Amino acid sequence: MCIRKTEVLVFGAAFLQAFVAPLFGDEALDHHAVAFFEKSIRPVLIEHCYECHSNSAKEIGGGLRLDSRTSIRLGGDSGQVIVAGNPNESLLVAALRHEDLQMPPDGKLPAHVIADFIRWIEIGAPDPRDGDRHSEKSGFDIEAARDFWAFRPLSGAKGSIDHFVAGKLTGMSLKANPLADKYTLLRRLFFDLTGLPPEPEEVNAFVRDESSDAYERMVDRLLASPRFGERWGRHWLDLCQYADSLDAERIFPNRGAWRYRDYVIRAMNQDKPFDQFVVEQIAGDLLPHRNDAERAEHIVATQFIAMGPMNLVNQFKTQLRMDIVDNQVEKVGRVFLGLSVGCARCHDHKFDPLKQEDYYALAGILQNVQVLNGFRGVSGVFSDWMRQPIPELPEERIDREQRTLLHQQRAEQLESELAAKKTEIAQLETEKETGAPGKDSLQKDEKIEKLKDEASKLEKGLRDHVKANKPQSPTVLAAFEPVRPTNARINIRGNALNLGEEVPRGIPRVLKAVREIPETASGRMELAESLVHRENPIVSRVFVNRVWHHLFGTGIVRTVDNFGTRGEEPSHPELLEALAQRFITNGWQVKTLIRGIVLSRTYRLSSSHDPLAWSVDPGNRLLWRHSPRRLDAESIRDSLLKISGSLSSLAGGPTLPPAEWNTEEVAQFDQISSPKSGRFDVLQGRSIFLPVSRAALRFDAGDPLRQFDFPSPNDIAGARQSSTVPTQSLYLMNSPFVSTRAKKFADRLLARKLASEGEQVNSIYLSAYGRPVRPAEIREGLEFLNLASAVPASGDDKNTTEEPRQTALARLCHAVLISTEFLMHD
Amino acid sequence: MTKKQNPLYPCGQFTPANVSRREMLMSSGCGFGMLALSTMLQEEAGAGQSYPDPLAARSGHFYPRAQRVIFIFLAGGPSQVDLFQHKPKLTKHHGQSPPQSISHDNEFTTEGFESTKLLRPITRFRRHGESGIWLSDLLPHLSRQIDELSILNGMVADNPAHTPAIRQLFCGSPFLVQPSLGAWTSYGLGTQNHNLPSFVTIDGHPFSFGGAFLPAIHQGTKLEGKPNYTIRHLKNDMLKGAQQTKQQELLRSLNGRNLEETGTNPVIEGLIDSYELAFRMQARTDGIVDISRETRQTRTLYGVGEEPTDIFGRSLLVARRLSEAGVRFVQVYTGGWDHHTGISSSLPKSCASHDKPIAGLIADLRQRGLLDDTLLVCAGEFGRTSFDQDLSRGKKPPKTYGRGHSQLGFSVFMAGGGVKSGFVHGDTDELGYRAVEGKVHIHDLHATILHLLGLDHERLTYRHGARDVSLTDVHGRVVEEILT
Repeated sequence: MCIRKTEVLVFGAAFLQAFVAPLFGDEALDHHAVAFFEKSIRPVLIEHCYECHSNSAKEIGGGLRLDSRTSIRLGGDSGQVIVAGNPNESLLVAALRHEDLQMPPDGKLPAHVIADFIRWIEIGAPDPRDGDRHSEKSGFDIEAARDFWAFRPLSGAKGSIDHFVAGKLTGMSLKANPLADKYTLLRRLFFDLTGLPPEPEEVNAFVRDESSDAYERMVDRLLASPRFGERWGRHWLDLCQYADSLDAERIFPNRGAWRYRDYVIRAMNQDKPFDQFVVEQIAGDLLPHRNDAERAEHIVATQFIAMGPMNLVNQFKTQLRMDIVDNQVEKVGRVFLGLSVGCARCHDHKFDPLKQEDYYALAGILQNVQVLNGFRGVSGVFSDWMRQPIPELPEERIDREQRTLLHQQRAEQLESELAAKKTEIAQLETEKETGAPGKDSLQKDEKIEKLKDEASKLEKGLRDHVKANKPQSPTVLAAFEPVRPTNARINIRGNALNLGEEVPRGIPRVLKAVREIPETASGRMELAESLVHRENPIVSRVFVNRVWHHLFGTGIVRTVDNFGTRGEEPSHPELLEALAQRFITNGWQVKTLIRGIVLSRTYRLSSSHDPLAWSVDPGNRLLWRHSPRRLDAESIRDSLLKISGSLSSLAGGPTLPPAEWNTEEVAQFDQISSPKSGRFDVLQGRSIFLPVSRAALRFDAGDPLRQFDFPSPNDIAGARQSSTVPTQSLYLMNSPFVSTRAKKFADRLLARKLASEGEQVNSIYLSAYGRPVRPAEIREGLEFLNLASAVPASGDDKNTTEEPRQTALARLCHAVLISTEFLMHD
Repeated sequence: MTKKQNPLYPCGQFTPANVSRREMLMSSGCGFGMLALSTMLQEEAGAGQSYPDPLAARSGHFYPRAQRVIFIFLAGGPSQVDLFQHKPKLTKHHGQSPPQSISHDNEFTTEGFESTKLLRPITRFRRHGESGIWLSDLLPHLSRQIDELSILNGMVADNPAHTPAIRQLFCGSPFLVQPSLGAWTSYGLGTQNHNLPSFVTIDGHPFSFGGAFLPAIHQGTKLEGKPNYTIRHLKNDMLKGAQQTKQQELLRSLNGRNLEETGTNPVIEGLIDSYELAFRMQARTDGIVDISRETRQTRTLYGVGEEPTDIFGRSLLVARRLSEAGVRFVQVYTGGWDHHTGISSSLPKSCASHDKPIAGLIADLRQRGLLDDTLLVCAGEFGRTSFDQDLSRGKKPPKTYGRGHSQLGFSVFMAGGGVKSGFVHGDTDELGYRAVEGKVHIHDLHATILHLLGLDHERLTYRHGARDVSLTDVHGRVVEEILT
């Protein structure tokens, strides 16, 4: 491409248009416009117009209000004041220019301000302010805040999913797609419920089963599979900043983190009621318990609140502590309420009903969690963290005793080796002293040097072994209830050193609190119980929407982590109400919720393209089809392992030791002859069991998960990105991990001794795409095998001892495994 | 222009495919149409695609002075008083205890601070060029390019530890995970090269080229493996030449059929485009990074083929080739500037390996006519103290002393695209310790770089976690003083 041409065009565009904003994804598109509004329009309206033209005006001038999107568009006594896109026909502009009407009356605004308004109207007068009920008012009205749709009591809407969806479609004169074929549906269901593709035999059996409840039985089978928790547990971990390390820069392992990961998987598999799940994660340590196992589980669960990114190296410790609390506040807000509470750290929330006092009331509860514990090492720079003992279960104790024994044996062995060396040194030294000087003596010197070297290495090894490898009784970084809980003080402008008033611990006022927080309690239990209280249905709304998001690729509220006024409104409000209501009525059973959704007709729709529906609703907000998406990171990696027959049966327990977290090794274990720990079960296990390090970064080219938008453990990621970048393509085409999977897949096919190459091609299609091959595809496959096995090997390939046909089959498998049909989830 | 608005998508984010891309862009509701149209006209081939190309070249907020950036990062903290800032008083008071203004400074303390003495620059300074700017004898090659440079001598940053400071230099915030400068640039401007990503870094810590929450396409792609430079997974060691070509043909056919069967599908189209770009990267990258295609004269200019400049000279020559090929943001990471010990012998070594290549790059950009619209930035994460640091605590002789970290006043220089030449802005106090005039914070540096590229740092924002996030947050001022 010619650079000069671009320049001309680019400059041309710059001249043509004074206001340009880059064209990107959905968010960016409107937020540039919004940013422009916030910066250049809203402040002017507030300063110069609201006095007479807002809800708070004593008398509304000219019947015109400018303090909400609806009212500014509605106009006043003189009629419409803005014509979006056409400033010259907009009365507002004329008034600002002092042409006809003269506004503001006390003097014309500067020319650049008027130009901003003209520009704003030219671009369609984008206006993020909500409708009438959210007029700009100073002050904070809790009842009004509770009237925002997300905080209102449930509407009591009743009806099936399909009923609500059909209603909307009919309203736009659209027809839903037909149902997906059985192959597509099965693959969809498998990925959604287990994160893995069906085996060819499962595909065939399902398609042959013509009984009316075949699908329903399949749903129940998959919901009961242990793989279900590994899939849905990971969705939850995306929200809670799960990682096996603590610091964002250095690897300080969080050794008990895996217990929380396993707890989440177990909770999903056992279908622990969601309200209980929430209470345990926030205040499990304060719950009564029947036995040690339950006690341990309860403490482990509170890692939810304790876990998060921290900069242990930050020298400003007060700020560090407050940063940790801030993260916890934000986590509670975003995960359960879909509210960005963190904004109120520095100022009252600009858009949502949260005042700075609400923030510090909640921060007061959470600062008592106490994550940090003095310093680590002598430098006075690194903070240390809390390690809470948990009851050791009998089988764990037995295991630890066995490992302790091994540890002692190893220590003894090292000690005796060391002693032997020392004896040898002493012996040589005596010999040297008594012997004659000369060549012999020099040799002895060298030998002694060498032995001393070895001895010091042994000594260090022994020290390290005793210090680092000694089996410990289990501890976790979890919540802790102090004897005298304290309140937080407002940090003026978010500065932890600039303290304002003390704020009593409390629940954000948009929520109904179940009861007062006693002086002797931190308030975590009260917080937990309030969240799942019937009168606070937002938690149910937010959660059912998350489940919907995972099953459809988009939430009913698309901004899954933001139900505030800056988030989007639901596409199907009544449906969301009904789902949230049913979820509570059914005892917060997550599996029941999922079951109800996947059994709906809406879930089972085909994803195929429909030109008419697309022209009206390309984003599929009305659910005229099932939205096609790319498989997520874990589904890609786990499927490649499963299809190639490499997937281990690991189902929990500690992950790799930190020394082996090098993502290179995790990603390319095929090249490692033997990891030090021998943990191939982790390396070849499902992705959820791989170590997650806060320090490793998502763009590390060696890691298949981070390639495909595995979220940063430092983010709260209700919705992942689904990016498409060429480095992913290069990874799929060229990485040893994928190439090796293809080869193993081919080996596996050959081992099955299928009748013909056509059968092999069919089997490849069934495994990778979940559907049988078509005749034309068989022809294409066979042709490729002929061509590829005839191409002379070049370069290093010459050394291969494999049959050309076998190699060609691996190439074919590789192409299928990285093709769009495999990568799609539709 | 008539406006067709879809009631479901008032902002026109979604593009019905049965409307041509041109029609759609001209009719989109939020006024982004003209911009996108210019993009589209450049790449007619893409018409009919059902999604916008996130890397398409686009104009910023206003007329750009620079089309592209080469950012050289000298990791460790180059010493401003030994290289850029002529401080006769420091020589005069050499060996004395620091004055109260320093010793009572409680902002930070460094190891060995109790017994520290002021340390004079390790070599002489001279005036150079028509501008008569002072520069250390340690930089003879750069001295000859002095009339091309804009030197910022009043730089300040927030944190005196490497990691937070490097993070701030690249991402604005010392602690938060934020997109890097190059990623913001790609997000704002797209790319002019269709065979390579918009942002390429030669080595570097991942966060220095990370995209954080920006669309992943904007994160930097790393070239590694000195001295030949390549992109990870660019080649398949198990599958070469004709074998892979055959496989790619099959893959194209599988993907093409998949798209045909599903009809309009932005996700599949995106995947196919991504494969096509990957094929092109595979085919072209080697050629672009192949410096043997340069004349001997050019290679010599960068010090390629001689020691100690060979490696860094290669990096900069590759950087220039990338930049010339249209890569919007090229970043080069080089280390060896953390002189805690033995600065009198180690700093000259660092200078010897970097001076000629950097000067060579400037001369080369100038002779190719690229310097006018290419912005060259050369920066460390902070500077160094004007007093010495003795990590041995008195056990070793003074020649082993070095200097500690200091973020309170240091130097960065720029050249080309829209900055004054032969110009010095800002200064530290007479001992070279603390910026006292023309202070430029890292946020200001970012605002200025974006400004030169035609981007307004306050308007270049991305919605993340309910906030409109920008590189400079609520800070940043364009350093008008250095603009041409």
